[in-house]
Amino acid sequence: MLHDLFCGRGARPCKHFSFAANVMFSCVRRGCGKGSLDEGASLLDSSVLDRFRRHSSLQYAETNTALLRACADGGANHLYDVTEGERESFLPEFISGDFDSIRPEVREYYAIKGCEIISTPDQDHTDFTKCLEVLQKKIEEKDLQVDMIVTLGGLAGRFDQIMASVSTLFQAPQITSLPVIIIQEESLIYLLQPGKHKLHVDTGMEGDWCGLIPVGQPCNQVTTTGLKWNLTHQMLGFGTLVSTSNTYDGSGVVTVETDHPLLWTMAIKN
Amino acid sequence: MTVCVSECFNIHHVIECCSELPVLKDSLFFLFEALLRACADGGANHLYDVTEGERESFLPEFISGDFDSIRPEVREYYAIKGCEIISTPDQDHTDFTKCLEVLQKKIEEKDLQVDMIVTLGGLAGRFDQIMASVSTLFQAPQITSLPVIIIQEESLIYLLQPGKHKLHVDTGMEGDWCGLIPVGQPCNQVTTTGLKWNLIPYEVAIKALMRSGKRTRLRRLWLGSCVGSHVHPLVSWMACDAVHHMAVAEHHEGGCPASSFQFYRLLLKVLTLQKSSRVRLEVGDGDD
Repeated sequence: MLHDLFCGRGARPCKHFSFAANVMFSCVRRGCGKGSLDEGASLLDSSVLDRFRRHSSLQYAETNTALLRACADGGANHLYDVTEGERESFLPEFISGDFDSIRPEVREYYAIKGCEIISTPDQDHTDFTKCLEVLQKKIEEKDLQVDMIVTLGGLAGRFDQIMASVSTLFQAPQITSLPVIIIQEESLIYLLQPGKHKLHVDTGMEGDWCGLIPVGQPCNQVTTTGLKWNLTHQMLGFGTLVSTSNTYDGSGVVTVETDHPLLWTMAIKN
Repeated sequence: MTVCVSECFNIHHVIECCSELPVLKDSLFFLFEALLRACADGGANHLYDVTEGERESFLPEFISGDFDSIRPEVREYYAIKGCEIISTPDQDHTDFTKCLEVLQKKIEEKDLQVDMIVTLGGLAGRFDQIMASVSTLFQAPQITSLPVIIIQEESLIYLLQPGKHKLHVDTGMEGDWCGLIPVGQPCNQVTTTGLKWNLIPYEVAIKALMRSGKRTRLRRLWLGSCVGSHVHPLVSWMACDAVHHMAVAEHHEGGCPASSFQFYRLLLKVLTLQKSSRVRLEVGDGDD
């Protein structure tokens, strides 16, 4: 099964936020209308990420690029803070969560501006996971043509929350069929399901490191091409081998074949 | 190639490692009292920076690594001060892992009585390096029989090997969250007590319910008992207020603050009670 990571080509630039854990912002970006897999696409299609600002606090999600913006609880605080001066261009469609993190004035501001406030009190799932569920519902209700869900933040701060973010990627396929990636600062993570994957890494937005992390269970048979240190039917597992600080061989394409879910991580230029 | 660098320190009977990623000045008290301090590559940069003005009180015994991160002036400074510079060029392991190996050798050579290795940093920044830090915890048992914990900011992580573990979380240094993460593979049978949300024999897999973010309310004398599965290690972590607590103490007193002993109690209590454990659990405060 050949599964390509894709971003629709031709979409307009999307600026993003990043911030600490337990504070998620999901940006749903529209592709060029194709709802299906695109062979030639890349995780870092310039149309998605070419506006990453130098400083993470100045990253924005532009009104007319993200089809739908959403915040999970405290994510709204960060959205509010970093969009000071132009908040109205970055209003989220909704803010969901158990609201133990969002500041009262922030909640009030977005409520007044017409953003839906959705309470998701379930304590057995994180705000991020629940936000993803609401997001998927909205996408279906509005029949939006979406290529990918980009999550900003979640890979820094409290260690348990970093791992919770990773955990949500494992739950994502049950929530949505759309690819979900998480980006914070220079790190991007994406969960590769069992099978073959082709990653286009020639957009110029790639940083200089990448890795494959068998975070949930060992992957007994992993084969890669396009990396500086490739694997050939090798096992990846904590305590055995974990691929970190890897890089590219210059070919511009990385393929990964795995028998179990495997977390791909890479640097993106800030 | 690897950039997951560490600094290792001994504190009384505790050795610490300090990573490349931001080392809080708050952590200085660790460094001061360490039996043995060591840096892994770029960890030396941070040590150098945060100990400005009192560097000579915090000299590492050695600095190891492939030296692609350490600044030339930092390397030169520590070399002049007599710190051993040990090249570990092996590209198949991180600087942190290699530093741990050198550290273990030093401990054996010097016949030091060590209870624990505390690593500072490694849980922030590049995602692959965070994972590399966690990975080193899995490799640690092959390198040393000493417990290895990693602390950064308010987070502490420790790998529970298969078996029963008792964690004392009543030192007052605990923050308000803790959790159990089955990194590496699912844990088929996990049982806990002492947590707000305990686990009954229940497959704990990263796909299953994440118990992170839950608060432990139990502050009694003794507490969390986790029965790990017999097959799979489980990463445990907890919030740690100690660093902030110590920051206050450190800057008010000249030398080793009395309150730092409380933190040692915490560290030494957060240990595995395994059958073959030779680790001491008390520093002599005697309140248990």
